[in-house]
Amino acid sequence: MEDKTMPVSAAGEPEWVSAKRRDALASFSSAPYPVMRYGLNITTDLGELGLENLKAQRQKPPKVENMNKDIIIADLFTALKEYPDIVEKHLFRSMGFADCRCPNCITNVIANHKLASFHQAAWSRGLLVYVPRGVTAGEPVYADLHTEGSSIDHTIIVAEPRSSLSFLENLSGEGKYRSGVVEVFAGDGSRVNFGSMQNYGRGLVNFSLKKAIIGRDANVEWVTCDIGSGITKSDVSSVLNGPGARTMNRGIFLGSEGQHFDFHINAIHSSPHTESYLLTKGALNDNAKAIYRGLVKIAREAKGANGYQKADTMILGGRAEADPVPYLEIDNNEVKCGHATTVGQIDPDKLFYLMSRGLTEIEAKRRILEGFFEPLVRLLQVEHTQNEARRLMHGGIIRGLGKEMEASV
Amino acid sequence: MSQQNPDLIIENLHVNVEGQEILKGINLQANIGEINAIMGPNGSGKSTLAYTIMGHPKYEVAQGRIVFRGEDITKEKPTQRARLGLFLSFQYPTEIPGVTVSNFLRTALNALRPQPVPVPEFLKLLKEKMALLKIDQSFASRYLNEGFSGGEKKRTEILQMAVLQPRMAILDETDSGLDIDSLKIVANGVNELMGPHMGALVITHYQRLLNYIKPDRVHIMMDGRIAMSGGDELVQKLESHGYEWVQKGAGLKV
Repeated sequence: MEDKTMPVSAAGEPEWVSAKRRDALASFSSAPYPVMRYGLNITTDLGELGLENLKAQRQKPPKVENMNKDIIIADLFTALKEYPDIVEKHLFRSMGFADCRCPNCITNVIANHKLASFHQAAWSRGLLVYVPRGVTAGEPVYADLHTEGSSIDHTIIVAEPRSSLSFLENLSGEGKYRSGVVEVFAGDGSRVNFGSMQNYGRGLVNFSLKKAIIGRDANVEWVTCDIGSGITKSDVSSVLNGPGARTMNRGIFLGSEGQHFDFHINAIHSSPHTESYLLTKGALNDNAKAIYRGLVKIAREAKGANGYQKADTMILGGRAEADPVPYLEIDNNEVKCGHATTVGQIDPDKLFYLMSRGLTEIEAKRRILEGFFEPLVRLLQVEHTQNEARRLMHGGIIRGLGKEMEASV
Repeated sequence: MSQQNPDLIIENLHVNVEGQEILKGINLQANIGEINAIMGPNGSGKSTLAYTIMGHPKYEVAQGRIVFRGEDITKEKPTQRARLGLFLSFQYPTEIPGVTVSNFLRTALNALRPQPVPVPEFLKLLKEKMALLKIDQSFASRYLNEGFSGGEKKRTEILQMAVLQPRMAILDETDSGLDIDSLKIVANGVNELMGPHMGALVITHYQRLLNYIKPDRVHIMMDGRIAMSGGDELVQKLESHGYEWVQKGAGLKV
């Protein structure tokens, strides 16, 4: 466990990996830090991160629970030795343009260029999950990715045609910076269920890129839950790359005390009869701030596509702010598309209803908020993670409501 | 009982909603153990009266007071009114996603009782009341009112009343949207629950519900006031003569 200045390269890794690191380092050095400013004066300032001098502690390899012998689960450095073909075929492939012809992805990559390049140069921990053709993985694969100090984690998930996998990452720890990239390759007719539970310490900057390339008739479902970190910049993209591909993307966030969240949720329909459904629910206490940018992009060739997105944010504290903007970019006329965003407070009629049954105002609000999140919390695949999410949300909601009550007295 | 003060006293109640006066001096008295029907045409202020008794913040009491079981509750929060034993069966119950019927009712029951009710005891009570109202047991684990039909919502309101056992229940248009079979089930449930420890204010536009739930007193509201009060016979009279008859005879207090 020695401290090293990033970027690092691991001893004994293949030359093609080191070459990728060198290329990425050059892009990193020449790119500016992203400046993220949005409509309501919401700023996520990453300029002071100083990644050049970041001290990274070598992290413990991911702890993974799953007993299924038919699938491959390997630390990425080990996988480079034991399954070099699989890794070489997939590492960073989703981040290029080969699978996605959509200009928006280029925009995304440019906005994320500095941080993504840094990630590619300096990744120091990783995981490969490979599900062979036709195999059903069964019980969810649970990966514990704990961070101390700083970590740069790369996850590759490959679901070969007609396979199925449920995967849940648990992200925890204290520190300065965490970069996490997840690449999902969902082959034709496969199903991937990806869950993420994030509860970093409040001092940590969390950069997260998740991208799925989804083949013909394949289905990728995302459930992400963000509660921790000081700043989270998170992009989740689904490229619907084969006819009949589907994605459901559900996100939860709960923020308080100076937390900033910046979410970009993208569904790129590049094939006919593809479907996307993006649903985000959040609540903000104190002076927490959240930006949501959702994009449903339907290419000219994607006839008969269906896209829907909805983002609902509850404002619990007087100084909290949310700025949700859904985008639709549609290049053909044979599609169904819709969007809705709401930013508001707890519905007074719901509050009255519960109070008329004897609940105090604070209990009633808590129930309404917990109920608001519950249908999504239930989707986290592992019961103890659901309970952990409920416990954290319960605590966060009570603290937030408590402060509001004090402030209003 | 008649020597004591009535359990519910509404005195000269004036209520504004968004700046408009809806209730224009209601006087009404009711006792636990009695059934009082409040009838009236649309827009006469019946639902406003129900919401105001329960304390919805949108309904602003400009004048007058509401006393329940000796306490002036005019300025109390709904929580406190419920804890004194008031209950409102909503005309349009709100959906509460993510909160199951069972979980919610246990929370509410514990809020009303001095001691938490043990889980097995609660489940037994819930099961028994669901059977009384012919509600499928699967509803216990469904989210409160979410995706329920109109009739299912109304039955669930009465289920809540049955489990929480208030002293005075206000049934706001409980019959609207119910088919005849559901109406009978709901009325039968209400009758089972009524007794010396529970009274009701039954708010309705039509006499239909009152064929099954027999009121001790009937009050007719017109334009934000009680225009007429009387016994059961008023229901039949209204049925044959309509509300115009009350209008014409306004001032003719029975």
